[in-house]
Formats: sequence, structure tokens, C-alpha cells
Amino acid sequence: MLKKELHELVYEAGLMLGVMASFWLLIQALSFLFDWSMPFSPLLLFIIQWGVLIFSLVSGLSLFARERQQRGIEYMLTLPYSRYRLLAIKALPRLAALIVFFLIYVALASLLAGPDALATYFPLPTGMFLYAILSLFLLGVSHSAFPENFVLLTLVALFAAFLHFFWLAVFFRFSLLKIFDRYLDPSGFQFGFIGFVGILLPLVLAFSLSFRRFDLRLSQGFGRSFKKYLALFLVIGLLVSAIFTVSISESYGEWYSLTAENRLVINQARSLTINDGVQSHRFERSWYSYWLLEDSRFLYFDSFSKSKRSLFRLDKKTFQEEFICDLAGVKNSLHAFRKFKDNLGFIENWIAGDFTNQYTLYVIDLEKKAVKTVPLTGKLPARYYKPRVFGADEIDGRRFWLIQSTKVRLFPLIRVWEDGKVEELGSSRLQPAYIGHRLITYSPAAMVFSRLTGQGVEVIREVPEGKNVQLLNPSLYRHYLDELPVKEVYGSISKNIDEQAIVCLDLENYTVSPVGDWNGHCFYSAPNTYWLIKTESGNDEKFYLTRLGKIENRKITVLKEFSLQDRVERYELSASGIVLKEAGRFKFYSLPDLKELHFKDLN
Amino acid sequence: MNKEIIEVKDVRLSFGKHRALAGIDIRFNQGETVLLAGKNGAGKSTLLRCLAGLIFPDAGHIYRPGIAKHQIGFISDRMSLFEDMTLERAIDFHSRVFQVKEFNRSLMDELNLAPTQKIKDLSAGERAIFHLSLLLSQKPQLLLLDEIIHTMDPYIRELFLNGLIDLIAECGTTVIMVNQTFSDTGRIPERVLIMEDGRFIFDEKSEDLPKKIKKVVTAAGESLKGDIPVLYVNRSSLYREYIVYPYAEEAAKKSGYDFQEVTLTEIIKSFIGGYYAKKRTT
Amino acid sequence: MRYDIDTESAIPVHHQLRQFILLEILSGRLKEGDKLPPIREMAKIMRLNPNTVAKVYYNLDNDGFVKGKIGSGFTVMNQKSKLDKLKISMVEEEFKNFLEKALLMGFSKEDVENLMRRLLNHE
Repeated sequence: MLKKELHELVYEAGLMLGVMASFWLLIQALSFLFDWSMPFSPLLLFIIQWGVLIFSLVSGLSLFARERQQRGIEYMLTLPYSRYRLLAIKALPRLAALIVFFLIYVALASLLAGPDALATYFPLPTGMFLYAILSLFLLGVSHSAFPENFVLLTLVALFAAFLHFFWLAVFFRFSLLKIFDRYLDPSGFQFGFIGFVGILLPLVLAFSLSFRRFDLRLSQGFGRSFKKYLALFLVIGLLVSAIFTVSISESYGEWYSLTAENRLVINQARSLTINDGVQSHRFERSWYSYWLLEDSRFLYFDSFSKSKRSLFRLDKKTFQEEFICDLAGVKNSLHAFRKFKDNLGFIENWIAGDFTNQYTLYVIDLEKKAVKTVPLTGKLPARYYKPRVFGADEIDGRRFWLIQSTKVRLFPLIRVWEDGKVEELGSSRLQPAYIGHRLITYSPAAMVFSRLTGQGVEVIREVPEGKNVQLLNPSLYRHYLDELPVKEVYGSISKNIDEQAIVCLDLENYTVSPVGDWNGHCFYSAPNTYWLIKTESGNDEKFYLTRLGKIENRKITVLKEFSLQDRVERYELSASGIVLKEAGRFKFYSLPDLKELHFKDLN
Repeated sequence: MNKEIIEVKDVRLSFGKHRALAGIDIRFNQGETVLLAGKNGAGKSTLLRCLAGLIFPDAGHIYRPGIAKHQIGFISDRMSLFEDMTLERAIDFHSRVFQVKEFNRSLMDELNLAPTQKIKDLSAGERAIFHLSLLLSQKPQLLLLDEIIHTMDPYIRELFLNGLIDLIAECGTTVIMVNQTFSDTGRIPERVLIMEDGRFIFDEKSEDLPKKIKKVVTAAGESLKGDIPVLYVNRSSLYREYIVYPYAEEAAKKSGYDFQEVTLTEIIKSFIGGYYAKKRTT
Repeated sequence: MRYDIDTESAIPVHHQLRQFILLEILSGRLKEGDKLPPIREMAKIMRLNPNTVAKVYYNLDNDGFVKGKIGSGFTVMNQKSKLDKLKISMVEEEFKNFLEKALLMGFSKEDVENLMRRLLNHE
């Protein structure tokens, strides 16, 4: 019987390929006639995806179509196979074929457009494509045992598919806005789980439990028990998936941070709260507000309000909200930005429909509330790997932004002037920095200090002792060294994964002096504020904080030690405070005195 | 040889509102050849399908512990097979699946069926013979035949019945066939079952039939006196025939009427006719 | 062979078959030493269940008219005395039926005798 199924499968697959090929040829012909410019690979991949998706649904639905059409069902049911074996003989080859088509697609896509192509949203990204194939196939199969006519069955299955993806969209409407891919990864587990449990699993369960009663009769035996099971499982499935979604969206919230003045900022899924110890100010949002940076007056957020993405700021004293600009055109999350005077600069990098990398420098004027874009596509080397802004400055009234690639060694550092002119500044072996109007890069032999002029780079000094000193990169944090004068910075030389030798880099004398060793990580959170953290993993393989220290005046001081039993996890360091989760409860302390902070109205 | 091999216990089955089987209790012994008769829609095909395992009853059980699925042969009234297969492939397929050791082509050769033909290109009679050859090679313990004999021409019918006789002689197969008359099947069935509205209303051995059913012939217009169970009345301008069932020797003698033999087809016809007569009066 | 079995008739078929075989033996068409057709073949010719045929053969074996068993065949035996008795009883049976019919139609005993003499003389 397997041979027969394979024959049928080959026939149906051949049909599908024929249809897809004719469709493709038709489009090519039309574009030739009307002189359209059709990008080759995206169109091909698009057609293949749609063809395979339709085929998934149809091949599931038509499991028993041939036999029904040819009155062979009675004979089939007399064969000495159990109902489940018959089902397996029919379903598994088709499923295998779908997986093969999927793999061919992946191979083709990688070949034609490179591995980056597989992460795009048009056509469907790989993970979602596979999920859609399997979902549609299962949907088809769970409807295949009803002897209705094929058109009716297809309509019912399409409706079920619609409900399925609609259910997903209801919970993940946010995923349509790509800002959240960094935080939620909607094309991952949660996405599939909810849709699968909510609608697919009930269908599949109801089908398999009733299938042992599959016989020739319309809606008796099989049909009746299918409807019974489906009603039951559907209700359970929708409830479970709803509860799951609510719980994960809530649990993504409760992100606590402290401002420089030790005010508590609480980020939740649909609200932002600032608590100054006495009062709580709550701002309603449609989704998270991402706290980008802080200066002496304001807190800046990338936030959603009424489904509109915007940059806004809160006055730290009055808690007044102020809209700055619209961020709807920005597709990615802001994670590599710098503030320079009244400008906020960041790089936007995304992949266009023709699978090419696009780069744009955004410069936001925070006072004039204007957005300027400087297109950089083609001006940066190809595949510049997640470019980020690491410094900014001004010469003779002209501003420039410094850009590095994540793979520093392979790509040059770039300077972009606000008028759009792009210069290469040479490369660096390790992460560069821009401190006190000086560019710090690394050659094979030394740490190199340079000055940037209107024309280019002037080396000031080479410091061989500093060649392996990693500066605690400030670009991840909310205060930047290039805005404030500092005399010294601290860096570390890595001895092992967790062992650092802390050194002090004197920026006036260009000397490197040792400070001490630290077994753990160092964090810079404000000018002249350096914290030291040590974590260890417990029996449950989670990491807990065991030691907290600071660097000051070229000395390391241990502030507090914790035992693993205290289960201190999740911390966030700020300029003068720390948020800890001790045995599951959040606690807040000011630093360095480690006095506990209490916030009223905190539930 | 009279071992019980199938027991059907209180089986009920409905198609939506229509009750096809309304409580079937019956037993079959090994080697029996049974004729299953009754008007159209009485539930005969449905019962057969239940016995073959094609459909499941809503209630009740069918026990056939000694018979494995590959030992059951079934021909549906539509003679269902995989249409697109050639005869050769179908033989190959059937043999593999049903563990057939040797396939006997004699029946096929009688009709000169070419192995490269497709099943869908065969005529009804050729199909029946081909289907039967497949089943015969299985040497099934249980053979279930739905109403196909009446579609055959006399030549094919004889071929078919001869094949059946061979099977019964060789394997002691239990055969249950659905048919409306005895003329098609000869006297091969030894037991007659008549169904009506999903129930059995008659279950007798063929050789007992003459003892259980008789008729009284009277003049046209004359009615029958006495407490005699009349199944059906056949009226014509010449005479009236009162079909009597169940026949009781004592009561018959007392009535004084002359009881005559009834032919087998008349028996079946009377049961069916009696059903319709009942419908008219209620 | 003549096919005398009436499948429509209510008369038990095994009885009809037995009568048929005995008639064949009595008439001499089946002689002593002849083999009866194998069960299967007889079943096919007469359109009967092989079990029925087997039963009839066995009964004939028990009564001594044939001897044998399944597989090796059944041979006709010489049972002259039994056969003679059978001849008489069969003819008697036929004659009784005839008489019944005649009397029903209104013939008297004398009419029947006259008819018999007339027919025999014409022989």
C-alpha cells in the first residue's frame, strides 16, 4: 500500500510543481511584456512558499480523496491493517515530502540570497514557514475523514486555518511591529505554542481519538465523537493558551530600574511607572516603554502609546510627559545609540525585500523635535555586521558620529558627518572608545590615542602597556564619557573567563597602573562610578550574585558578600543604586552604602 | 465442525434518524452457508458491513475471536477495489496484504482477463469474478457477499457459484450472502435469514422450510376461518393463497384445511409482501 | 445425467438428491463398481452445498448402497435385495400419487382399472 501512496504523492507533487512553474513563467512573461523589473530570487521564493503552503493544506485534506473518488474506501477498510496504520501509511509519506520541500526551500534561499535572507519577513521567515506548513497539514488531516465534497472541506479547513492564525495574531499583534523581536522573539516558541495548543492540538486530538471509529458512515461514529472531543479540547486549549499568553506577557513586565536619583522605574507590559518613594506616577501604554537614557533633567523612552511608536521624555521633577518625535519608520529596536548634546544618534540596519542590507543613521534633535536621516547603504562596506554608534563630537560647528561594526577587526571604523559625508578611520583590534575628545583604538602592539580633526586622524600617543586593556564600554549605558571630562578610566585585562585584572588608565599621563584582581565582571554606570559583580551558579544551574564591589581611587573595595543560599539574582546597577531579586522578591538599595530603599504604594 | 465462530449480541446501528439495525442477536457456526434476505433497506448490507469490520455498531458487540482480519473476504455491492490498479498489480497487492501463498488464475482464465487491464475497465461480471478470485486465494474463514449475484449473466453466475462451491469444499468457509431469491443461488445456502426493519424475522434451516411454512388455497373471495397465523395473502381472480407461518401440525389438522407446499421464493416474497401489507393497514 | 432437482421446491434437497442417485442406480445407469461423481463435482452440477452432498453420500454409505469416503470416492455396491425393495416402494409411491390425482378428478376405481389395462395393452 505504501507504493500506491507514493505513486499518488508523486503525482500530486508533480501537479503542484507544474502549477508553480506555470505561475512563475506567467509572471516572467508578463514582466517581459510590460517591462516590469522583477527581482528574481524573492519572486521565486515567494512562489515556492505559497505553493508549498497550499500543498500542505491540500495534501492533508486529500488523504482519502482518491479512494473516495474511486469507491475504494470499502476495500481499503477490509485490508487487515488497523485504522491507525492506514492513517500512518497515508500521512507520513506526505509529511516527509513536505519536510523535503521545506529543506529544498531553505537550501535554495541560502544559495540565492545568503543566510541573512532567511530571517526576513517577506516572504515568511524560516521558522514561521515550517510552523505554517505543519499547521496547515495537520489542519487538513484532521478534516480529511469527513466524506463531504472537497470544495466544502477546503473551505472549512481554510476557515480553521484563519481562526488559528487569527488567534495567534490576537495575542501577538505586537509582533507585527518588529521592535519587539529583541525582547519577545515572537517567531519562536511562544508563537507556535499558543496557536498549536489553542486550536491545532484540539483538532489533532479530536481527530486521533475518533479515528479508530472511522468507517463508511456519514457523521456517525467518527463524526459524532470528533465533534464531542473537539468541543471539549477546543475550550480547554483556548483557555490554556490564553492563560499562558497573559502570564508571559505579564511576566515580561516588572522590569525595575533606578534613576540616578534612585527613583524607581517600573516597566510593565502596558504601563510605565515612576515611583519617587512617596508618590507613584503611572503612564498607560500599549506595550513596553524602553528606557533609553537619562540626563540631568529627563528620562528618555522609546515607547508605544495607542499603537504608535514614539520617542518621548519625562521630566524627572515634574513627571511631565513630552513627545519628541515619531519612531514609526524605525523598524528595529534602539540598542546602539548615543546622545551628544541635544542629539540622539543611532544606526538602523535592516534587510530589504531584495535581501540587501540597508543602513541609515538617524539623528534626532531632542529640542527641535526633528528627525534627520542619513542613508548609509552602499557607503558602509557590505555586510558591516550590526553597526553601532560609539561616539560623537563636533568640529567647527559640524557634528560627526563614529560608527563601528560588531566584528571590529574585520571592518574599519567610520565617521559620518551630519551632512552625509562618510570617512573611514582605520581599524581596531579591540572595541574602540571615544573619551574626552580622543579616539582610543588598538593596534597589534599598543593602545592608540588619536585626535579627530576635520581632515582625519592624528595619533597622539601609543601606549604599549594598554594593548590588552579593555575599557568598560560605556555605550551600553546611559551616561557617556565623551560628554563629561574625566581624568581617568578603568579597564580590565582578561586573565580567564571570569578573572579580570583591573587597571587604571590615566588619561592625562597615558599610563596604565594595576589596581587589583577581580573574579567577576565590571560595570561602568556613571562617570567615575564603577561597580564590580561576581556571580556563581548554584545547584539549580542559575546564576546568583555572591559579591558586590566597587572601584574608587584606584582601589577595589568589597561592598557585600552573599551566599548562594540567599538566592540573589537579577540585578540592575545604576549610578547610585542597585535592584536585586532576593529569593524571588525585589529589593532596592542605594550604593555604595547599601541602604535599603523603600517605595510606597508598591504592590 | 459445528463450532460457533461468530456471535452478534444486541447490535444496534443508526444512520442519523434511520435505524438500520435495531437489535440483532445471532450466532453463526463454522462452515454454515447462510442466505440473508429481506426487502431493500432492511439492513442486510449494513449487517454484512458490520461483520466485515467496515462499520462499527452504535451499541452491542460482534465477537469473532477465531477469525483474524486477513481471514475475512468481503465483496461489497459496489465491488469496491482500487480502480486504477491493473489486475496484475491488484493480485500482487492483495496477495501480499492477505498472506496469500498461491494465486489461482483458473477463474480469470475462463474469462480471458488480461493482467494488464485496469480494474476500472472490467465489466460488472468480470469484476465479480476477479474479486472472487482474489478472495478465494485468501482461503478465508469467513466470506461475506453482498447483493451481486443478480447482476451476473448465467455463464458468469455459474462460474461464480462453482468457485464458491470449491471454496466451501476445500476450506470449510462460513459464507454469508445477501440475496433476494433462491433461484440465483441454487440450494447452496443451508440457512435462511430474513431481515425486516433492522431485525431478524425469520431464521430457519433450508431443509426445515417446508415444515414451517405452508399455504392454503381457497376460492377467490373466500376468507380463512379459524385461528391460523397468516403471513401473507396472495389474491387473484382465480383463487386466494393464504401463506401460513408458523405452521403447527395440530392446529392445521383441526382447521380441516388442506395445507400445501410453498416454494422457496414464495416464502421470501411472502415475508416481504407481508411487511408491505402490514404497512398498508397501520 | 438428468437434472431432476428442483431448487424451488420445498422438498428437502438432500431427499431429492438421494432419490435421484437411487434412481440412477435402479435404472442401471449407475452400475455396481461405478464411482459416484466426487462431492464437489456433484455439488456444482446440482448447485448444492457440498455439505449437503456429503451428507447424502454418507447416508447412502450407511444404508449400504455405496461404499467409500471423502477423498477416495464412493463406489456403487450391489445391494440387490435392498434395491428391489426400494424399487417396489418407489413405484408404489408414484402409483399412490397417481391414484390420488385420478380420484380427485373424479375417476372411479373401475375407471382407473380400465385405463391401466388400456395403457398396458398399448405397450
